[in-house]
Amino acid sequence: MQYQALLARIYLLAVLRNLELLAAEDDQSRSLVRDWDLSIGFKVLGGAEARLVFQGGRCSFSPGKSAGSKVKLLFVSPGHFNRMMRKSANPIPVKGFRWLRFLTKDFAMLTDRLEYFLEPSSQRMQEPGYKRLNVLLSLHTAIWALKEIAAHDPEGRLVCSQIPDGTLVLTVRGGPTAYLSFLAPDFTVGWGEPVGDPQAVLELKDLDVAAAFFQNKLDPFSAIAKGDLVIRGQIPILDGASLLLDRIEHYLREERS
Amino acid sequence: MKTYQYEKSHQIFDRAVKVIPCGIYGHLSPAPLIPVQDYPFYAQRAQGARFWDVDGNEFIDYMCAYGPMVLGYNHPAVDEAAARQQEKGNCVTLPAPVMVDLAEYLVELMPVADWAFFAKNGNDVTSFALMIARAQTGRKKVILFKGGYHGVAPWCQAPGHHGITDDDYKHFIRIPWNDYQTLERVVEENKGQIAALMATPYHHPTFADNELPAEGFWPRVEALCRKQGIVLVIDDVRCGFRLDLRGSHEYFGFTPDLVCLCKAIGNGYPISVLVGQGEFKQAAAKVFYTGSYWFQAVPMAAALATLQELVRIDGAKKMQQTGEKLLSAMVQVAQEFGYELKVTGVPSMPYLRITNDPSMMLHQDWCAACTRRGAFFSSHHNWFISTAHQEQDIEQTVEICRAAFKEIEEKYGDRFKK
Repeated sequence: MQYQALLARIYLLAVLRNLELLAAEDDQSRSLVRDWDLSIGFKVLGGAEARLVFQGGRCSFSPGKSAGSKVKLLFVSPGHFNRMMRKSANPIPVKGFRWLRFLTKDFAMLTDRLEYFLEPSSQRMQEPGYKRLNVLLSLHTAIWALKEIAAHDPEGRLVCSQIPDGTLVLTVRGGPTAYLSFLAPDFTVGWGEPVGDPQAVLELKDLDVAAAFFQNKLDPFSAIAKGDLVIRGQIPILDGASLLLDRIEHYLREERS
Repeated sequence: MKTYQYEKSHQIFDRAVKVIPCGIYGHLSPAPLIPVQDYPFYAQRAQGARFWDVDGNEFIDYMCAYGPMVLGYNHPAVDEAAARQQEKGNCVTLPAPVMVDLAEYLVELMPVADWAFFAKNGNDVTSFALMIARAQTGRKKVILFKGGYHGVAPWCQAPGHHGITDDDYKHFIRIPWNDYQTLERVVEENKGQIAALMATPYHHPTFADNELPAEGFWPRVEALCRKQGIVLVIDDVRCGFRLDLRGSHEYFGFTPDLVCLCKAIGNGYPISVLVGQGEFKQAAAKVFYTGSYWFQAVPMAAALATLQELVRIDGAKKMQQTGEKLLSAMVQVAQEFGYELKVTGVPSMPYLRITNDPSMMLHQDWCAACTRRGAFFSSHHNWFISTAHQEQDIEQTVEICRAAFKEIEEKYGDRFKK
């Protein structure tokens, strides 16, 4: 898959998906969506589709479908969607024109809030609440981005094919837990604890270490030796997952035109 | 039984991470030693089959510097030969006569060897072997076995790792170990294009059970290579001189074209060797290949002394016997506690795994518990036995194993017991 196409999938299915979590975990976002009652569909021609539903003060994300949404936004290409995510292009509304003002004002406030938490600065990270949400959303982004990378990135597919079957738990002490499940040819991810015993565990000592890990500021080998990053279980699973995690950088932090 | 702490190791490591990538990189990185806090990071000194870390903890060493130590640390015959050569000269404008002495000794010792070429590390000679094979055949492609380790040059590394590009492995075909049918098919599909088949004498991947060659595997592979003009290269870097002093292929009953050696040959002095059959000497001469320290005379003198000593004491046989004795006792102790300690590979280079917990977490805890009591065990890599391991080392190791099994029994209860 071409770079722009996979980047669009990651933006839609991993980054935008975070709105679900943000609306549940961030007071300001929760207050923002409290009275919203609408669904927004995203359709990328030649790419993925998804729908966000706001109802009863909650947000839910459904990949793979945009039909039936009150508002439907069309993107003529993955590149178009990626430019929208970078705020250098606008979507094409094809349904729900009366919601346009809402989209540019209220919904934009929510996506700005997401951006705020996903773009940390050293000053912002001083605040415990910010740090907690940054780590939460970073892990959430990472696992869903991995799902796309393992399926569509040529190197990711290659790496994934070499990983033995098993479940890897990714956990932050005092923070969130997620898991990756490799069962060839399937690769699934999940939020929270897996069912059954994992074959490998990667545990980050605290939120500071986790933040450094997700910002690619951590040398994992040194961190393991210092006890900041604790690994247990099947090393080939940990090694493969680490290579997959490193591919996220290739898409989300080194975005190319 | 006393268990160890590693305060000074960690203090040094804290300094290291500021100035060295990974703190400790490569195969000596503590990262795969799990749980890492149960392992020392820095050695202070070593003697015989033991080393002492910077905190003063004493270990019976079952990694032997990951293979190079074969006669014991600070072996007098080797160190004296090295010291004598050091007095004469080491890295000089001209090579020393000991280079010829060592080549002659290898040609005499190993029936497969008509010549010898010296370098420093195993990967120097595995890469050289492929260059020779390509020069000799005019072909590009190379067959390797999946999981086989031949060094860290880009062509050796698994696809997807950092710094590796598609181009680095595009002429390499990786097939499953012991799968002759696949080999035959791959050779047929690439008829006239395969320069070399490179393999270890038996399959000793990291993180997995080791596998000996199936009955008749090597003679069939050898015959296929001969028929198709494929150069058969044995990477004997890890196994060399621990199975058979004439080369590990002799142990398994076949004859390769080129054999790569390193690790045990110098008992810790830096040297590697490619030996080969006469018909490849001309190609070896035509490939330009060298390095700043490849003509160091001290490691050559040390290697000559190491080989002479190994021959004198029948070292490979001694290591196999020591390994058998140690492993059978350890398996027995494991059984007493309700655990299955599976041993694969050969007794002088065993790979061990407690099968009760497939995640390896229990095995990792047990290896760590042994290490904290003075038997340095890795849980991810095959171990190495040396000729310096003595009866009292085995006895002490078995007692350590017993104490470590008690510890994991207390931690896990009956959860994984059979």
